[in-house]
Amino acid sequence: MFRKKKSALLTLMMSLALLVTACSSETSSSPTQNTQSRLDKIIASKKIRIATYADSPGWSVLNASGEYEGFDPDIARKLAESLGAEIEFVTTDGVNRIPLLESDKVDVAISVFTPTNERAKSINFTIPYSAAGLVPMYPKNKPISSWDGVKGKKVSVSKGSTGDIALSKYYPEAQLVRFDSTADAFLALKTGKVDVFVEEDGIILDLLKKNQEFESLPGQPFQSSYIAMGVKKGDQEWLNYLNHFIRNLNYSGEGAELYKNRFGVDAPKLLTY
Amino acid sequence: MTQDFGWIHLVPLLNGAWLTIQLCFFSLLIGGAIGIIVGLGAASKNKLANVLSSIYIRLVRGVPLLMIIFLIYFALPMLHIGINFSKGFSAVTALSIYAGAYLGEIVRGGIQSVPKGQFEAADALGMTTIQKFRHVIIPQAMKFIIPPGIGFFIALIKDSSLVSIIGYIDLTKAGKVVSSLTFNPIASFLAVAAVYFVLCFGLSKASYYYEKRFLRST
Repeated sequence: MFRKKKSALLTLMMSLALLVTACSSETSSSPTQNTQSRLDKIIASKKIRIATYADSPGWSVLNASGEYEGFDPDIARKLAESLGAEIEFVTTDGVNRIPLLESDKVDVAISVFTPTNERAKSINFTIPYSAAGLVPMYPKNKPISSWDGVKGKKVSVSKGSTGDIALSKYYPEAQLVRFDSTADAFLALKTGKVDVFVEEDGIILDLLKKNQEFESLPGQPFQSSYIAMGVKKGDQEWLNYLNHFIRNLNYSGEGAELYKNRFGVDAPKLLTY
Repeated sequence: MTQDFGWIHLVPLLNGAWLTIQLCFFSLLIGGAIGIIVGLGAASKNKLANVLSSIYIRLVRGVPLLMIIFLIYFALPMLHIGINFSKGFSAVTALSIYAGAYLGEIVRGGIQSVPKGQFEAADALGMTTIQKFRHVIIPQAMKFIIPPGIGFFIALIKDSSLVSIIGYIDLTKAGKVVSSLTFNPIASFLAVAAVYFVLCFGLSKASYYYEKRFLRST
């Protein structure tokens, strides 16, 4: 009898805890009004907190000397420079990008963020500063002749990457094998666990130089999605500033130049705003 | 863009290992204190202390560590009650709460493993509760507490890799970063495994020495 009561109490407490967290995620998605814009805060404090990847080659990695390098950190530094602020980088991954924004741990996420309609319901996205071009990589002795060749084959991708999203949408017939990082997905191809590995063109081109036994499809990469910055909902002033910054970056050609420096290929064409 | 794996990549790995050591050290200190209180509570005859301690132990042991870290770092700020803990505070708090429950259970087991006659003998000698625990029960309970305690600490070192969810670059995450930097996951993770091994092997050696040196006599 006593035992039963105790477990009932425990269940009650657990459900209460769950309820509290459930409520919390609801209140967070409603825009907070009458608060100071992040833009003013950053200008006043001269500090900006930016979420970026530590393990996404080409886009953003933490190098051996402890500095972030890649296309995203390049953009982040330009943004900080424009605001006269010092950057505090926060390491992120596909799992905690949105929670970092919602719980106000970072001001902006510059982290190979694909602005899907689903995600745009819980956070705000800027206009795109880049786009992802995907290419497949496969062994020379087991080639595919076109993108349709991935149908029915085992294809490795990095979990939540643009390759993952695009293939799930356009080639559901492919058997996707999702890995935690790009390096793991590539290792799967190298050890013969999968037939094809799909990633951003810049990364694949670099890997092909060092791994002669593989090749890729000639011609234009498969344009799958835009890449934009993510911010917490409800701060229109901050969003306006970021959009303005990106428009200047795109129009001046500075962004395309940074892209070419990092990936060694021409930047994907973006719509001109 | 990618680099070959080399000695230079040990730097981020060792930085990660240092972070892991710091987190585990502080969590063990605070978690150990919680564990002793909770363990004494769970072993005591006081109904209230007993119920509260068992609720704590069962609740924490029933929730994955990942969720504890996630709730403290991300969910509390979303309540809009002015709480926004830093990374370090959240990580140590979460690990301490987690360690407290497991160590509490170990302490409770240790105390209850001491034969009943010892409690009665101490009472018969007219010892106060504090004297009883200090001179009779705890020295004997230690031999049931230390080995599983060290075992738990070794597990905690490995479990602490979950702090990467809140943006920490600990040893495991550093391995992932180096693996992405070099596209050489095998070398990277072998190095990570080697560092973990050195940490954990050192601890189990220390535990073995402790048992031999101090526990044989009792």
